[in-house]
Amino acid sequence: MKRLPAASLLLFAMVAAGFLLLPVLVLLVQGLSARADGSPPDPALPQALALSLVTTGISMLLVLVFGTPLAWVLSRWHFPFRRLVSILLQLPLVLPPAVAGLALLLTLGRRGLLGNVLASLNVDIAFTATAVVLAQVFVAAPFYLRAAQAGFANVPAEIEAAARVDGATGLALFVNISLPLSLRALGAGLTLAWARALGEFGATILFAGSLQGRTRTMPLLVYNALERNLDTAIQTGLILVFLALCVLLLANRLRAPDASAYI
Amino acid sequence: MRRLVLPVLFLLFLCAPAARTLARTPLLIFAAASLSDVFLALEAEFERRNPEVDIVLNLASSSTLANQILLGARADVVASADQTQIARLREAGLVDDAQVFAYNRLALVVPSDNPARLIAPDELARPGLRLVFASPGVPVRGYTDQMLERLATRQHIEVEEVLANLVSEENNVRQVMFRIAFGSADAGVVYRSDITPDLADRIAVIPLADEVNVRATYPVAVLADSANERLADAFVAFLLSSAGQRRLQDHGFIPAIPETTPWNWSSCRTAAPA
Repeated sequence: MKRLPAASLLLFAMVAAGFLLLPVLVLLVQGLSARADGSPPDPALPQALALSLVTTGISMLLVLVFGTPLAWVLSRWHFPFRRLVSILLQLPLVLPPAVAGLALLLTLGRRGLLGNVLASLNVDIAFTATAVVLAQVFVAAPFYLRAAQAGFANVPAEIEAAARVDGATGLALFVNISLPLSLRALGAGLTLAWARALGEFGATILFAGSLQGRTRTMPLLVYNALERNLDTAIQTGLILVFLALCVLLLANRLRAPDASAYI
Repeated sequence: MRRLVLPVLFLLFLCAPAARTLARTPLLIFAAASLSDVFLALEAEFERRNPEVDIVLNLASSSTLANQILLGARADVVASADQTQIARLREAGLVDDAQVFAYNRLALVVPSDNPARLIAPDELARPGLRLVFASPGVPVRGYTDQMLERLATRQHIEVEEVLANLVSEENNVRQVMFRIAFGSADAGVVYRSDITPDLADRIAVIPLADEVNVRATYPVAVLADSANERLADAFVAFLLSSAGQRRLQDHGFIPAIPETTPWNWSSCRTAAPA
């Protein structure tokens, strides 16, 4: 009688685990068997992979360069509505990507708020890899911001105070003390942001369109290949599963020492 | 316990419409994206005539619909924008015979302010033009490619030069329409029936000569393993009836069944002098 509840718990646990693992397993088996029949991969696949790696690379560079100062300002400076700003900046985390795409289109599209300004500068973003990058930055940056803010907040105040006593101020304090002490948190945040950027679909297809070799990233190829060739869709999915797994392992390693701090 | 009474009653109240839906027989109809508006109207009309039926529409490009069915999705009726997708289902033994219920024509559309100043289809090869077509595999793209071939033989333009102007390939014809109506691209190819009243003032149509334009064929079929074959047959009969055909015509399609009723003869005669 005493063992019964534990057994039923196990049953529920197994159902949950099976539900989460089985679809990925099926994709794995189908993808590998499709590969085994020796047919050459769709040429769209390497193009999409290259495009995805290049655009997410640029996106992460932008997230680092612009996101790190923002996270620093948000965790160190005191100004009115700081908490509110901090929360609003996390909105893209929970916003449906299609809404993000629509918002970008209404802002930066040809008929958008800034569209006329950009057009007068002869800059045309829509349907270019630039649009892909902007969509990725928009949805992925909050992952980095969150982790970076928490990382900066976790730097012990006495260390910074000690550095200040020794004469470190402003940028030097940030570069020599706070940044090195938060590297692990920044790395974990960047890894998750990269995963989000790599998987970006809704905002990209709305804002950047979908054209092979130009704006069709891996997730867009999965969707598009369903019109033509299921095997291509499965193989693309397989590569994305593999990349996602790498990201998870890396993020897990990076956040190991103090996991509760920022997730 | 008594505290629970009101919330439970409230929940039951919320469930009532769902229960009414459950009591009706669902009829799963997979229809091409270009049929979206007319099938919504047909759904309402068919449900009014058959209150025990609840039509559930699944609207996507015909190629997506065929793929969903090939992957095991349950459907009672499939209405496609080309014969190719029905043929794929027939090869897999999923449908027996199909009937053509409508035709359509292509339309070359631009945003209403025509940012690229396009006036004729032979300009589609002009460098720098931003074109949006449907993705290869989607029926309207097949018709678009046929149209480009005809254009190429008559107007001395290269199909490759036109395709080089593509900035995006969409998964169904309605998304092509969205790009144009939203003003994101310079030109796109859709069906005439896609120029719905609510979009008509956001786009302009570039005339296509009859010998360049292509006729799209819409076949409908009942799935071999349909759980509601009788109702599915009834819907197809409704589609082919004069009421269904008239509705299709109202939405910009070309009826497949020649009209014979007196009502239509008189309307044809009054329309003739113009």
